[in-house]
Amino acid sequence: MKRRGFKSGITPYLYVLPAIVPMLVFLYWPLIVNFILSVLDWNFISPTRNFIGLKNYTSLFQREAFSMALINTGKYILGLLPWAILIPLAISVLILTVKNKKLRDLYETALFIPTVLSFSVACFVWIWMLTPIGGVIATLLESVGLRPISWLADHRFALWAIVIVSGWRMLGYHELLLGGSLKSVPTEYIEAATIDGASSWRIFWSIRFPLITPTVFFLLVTTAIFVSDYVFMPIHILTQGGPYNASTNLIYLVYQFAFQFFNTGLASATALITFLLFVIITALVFYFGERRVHYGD
Amino acid sequence: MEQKGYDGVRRTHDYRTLVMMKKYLLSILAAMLVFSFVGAAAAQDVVEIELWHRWGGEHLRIFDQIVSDFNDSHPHIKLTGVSVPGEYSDLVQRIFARLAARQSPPDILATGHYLLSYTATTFGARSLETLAGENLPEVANRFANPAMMEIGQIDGEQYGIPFCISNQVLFYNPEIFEAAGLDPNQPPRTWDEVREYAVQIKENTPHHALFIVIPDTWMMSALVESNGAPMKGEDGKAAFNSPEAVETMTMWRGFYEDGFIPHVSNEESERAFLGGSIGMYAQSVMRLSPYYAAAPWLHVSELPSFGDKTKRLPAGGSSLVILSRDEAKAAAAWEFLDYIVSPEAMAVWVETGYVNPLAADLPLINPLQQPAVDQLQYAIPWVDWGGPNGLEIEQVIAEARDKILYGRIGVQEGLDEAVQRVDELLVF
Repeated sequence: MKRRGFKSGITPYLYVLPAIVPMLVFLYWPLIVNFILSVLDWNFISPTRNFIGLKNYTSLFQREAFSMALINTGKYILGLLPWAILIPLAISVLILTVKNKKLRDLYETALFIPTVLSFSVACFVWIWMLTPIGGVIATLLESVGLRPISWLADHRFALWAIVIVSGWRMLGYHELLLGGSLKSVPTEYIEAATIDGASSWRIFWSIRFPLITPTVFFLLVTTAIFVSDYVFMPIHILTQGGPYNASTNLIYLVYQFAFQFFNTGLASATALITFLLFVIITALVFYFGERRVHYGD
Repeated sequence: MEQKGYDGVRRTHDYRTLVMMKKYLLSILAAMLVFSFVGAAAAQDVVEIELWHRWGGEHLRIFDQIVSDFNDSHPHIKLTGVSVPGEYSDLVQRIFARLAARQSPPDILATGHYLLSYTATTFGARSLETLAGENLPEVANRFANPAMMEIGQIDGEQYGIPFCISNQVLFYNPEIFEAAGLDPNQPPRTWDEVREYAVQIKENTPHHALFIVIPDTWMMSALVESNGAPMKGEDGKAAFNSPEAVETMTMWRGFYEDGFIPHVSNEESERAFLGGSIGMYAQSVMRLSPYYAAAPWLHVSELPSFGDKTKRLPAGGSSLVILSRDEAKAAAAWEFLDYIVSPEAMAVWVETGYVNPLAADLPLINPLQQPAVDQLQYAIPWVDWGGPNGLEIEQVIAEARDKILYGRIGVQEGLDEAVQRVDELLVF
């Protein structure tokens, strides 16, 4: 009797074990190891491991590169939010007004193409386009009497050039999600509101938008969390974080500490701070954002 | 046909054949056994070693040719070259991964001169003075400038053989020179002349006058050192905020402020120069082959000097260091290091475009290489900051340089800040 009770008690845990074990091994154990590395002066291979307490953390806060990376991480999130939500939402609404289905599909396909292109290849094409000597954009600016901009070498523009390149690629996928969500709004609600004399603007804000808030919230959360990873490749290819850290972010700084300067302690400290920062950002987004989401129940 | 055997039992003809076959088989097996012992003994005499490098494409083909020639002429050694395409730091990453997985490092590593100290101390490079013994001075004497062996030294001890050498030259566009009213056969010899030429190019052509490449601190070191300002003082601390260093950076910044140098990234400047939009281009001679393929019109001259001051040009390229812990492998590795700085191997290697550092007279792959060869006498080691923060220090200096050049900070203030930061990192 007792034996059977133990069996029935442990069975549910056995079922979830295949999911829990990989999480423990590949997620939580690396987190613990990361913390241990951040308080050591050790490079993975040296026979001596010196415990240095929080010295890596204090050293990090004294570095200009870290403060710039921290600020830039916020700039990337804020800079890409319009590309992740506002612009694709506006385009989705506009496409929805196109009556011809073939034309609508054509627009959506055209917008989606950047998403399926190799991002690294696209970045190299963007370098050619952005170059101020003979680049397409410089030529266009010159043709209207403006001075060409040194997008990648000027500290005022480098970060925003990366935002534009990343936003250009992100746009199509987000438009697809928002467009699909808009199309799934029951037509009965729209027809009823139209009969009642509601304007298009009113229909959008009172019916369509509330019903697609779960998708908007999903995009808000994923953008806030994943943008820092997303911009890593364009940073690496276009500017390498420069000029003088003007376009770096926390993820790129971790890469530089770990694989360019081979300073494992600083890299681990930066990674841990980044992790905690994103936990806080995610919590804030859920706290302030989720209460405005209508799940339709 | 049947026959009786010694035991009186009748046996067929097939049985005799079987016995004969058995005897033959045994003989063959015995012979194979003997040969396998001999073969194993011979194989034991062949020392297998591995060399990691970063070369790909045409450079890889040329390097593999050297490895093949070495293996042919040294039957007791089997050298395998392993290409890890990318930067020198990518090689370091791979070795870290290998050591962290409790595997041996490669027996030989081709490491960038600027990474010599870091790789030697981190991965435990072998002192060549111990391994090569009396052979080392003879190898040093093969160099056109025996002082070049200092490029492979750490605190006066030899750890690397600097077989792969490049230096800074001035590429220029003769068509832009002509359009500006300049003589393409009279390139600028000093930085004052560069300014004069730049003024003429700016006034008489729609092109940009100049670009000095800035991917790392290599070119900055060449300019500052050539103006008589050491990057590092004798006390081991940063010293690049001296009046001469300030003068150098003020001149460089002035080129930007006066519109001679365009505000573009390194990659953008390269395309612009090859596309015929920049008149003068200070860059490594290592880029000669690809540049010449893309722009056969280009001319090359020595890097300008500061008046009549003797130039001091940090050598670019890489050294070979021995990381093997096994004595037999380390000895075999030294044989390769000895071989690669032989005129025979160097005659193959210079096909890459790197400069021949040996006294042996080898044909140039392109006459445009001559200015770089002439500058070998000015070669000095690239400043080695050492310590765990050595690589970050390079980045700190590069950031300070960019802030100064782009006018974000005053020259003296920027250099002072960078010197202070470097000194802090040196003691961290």
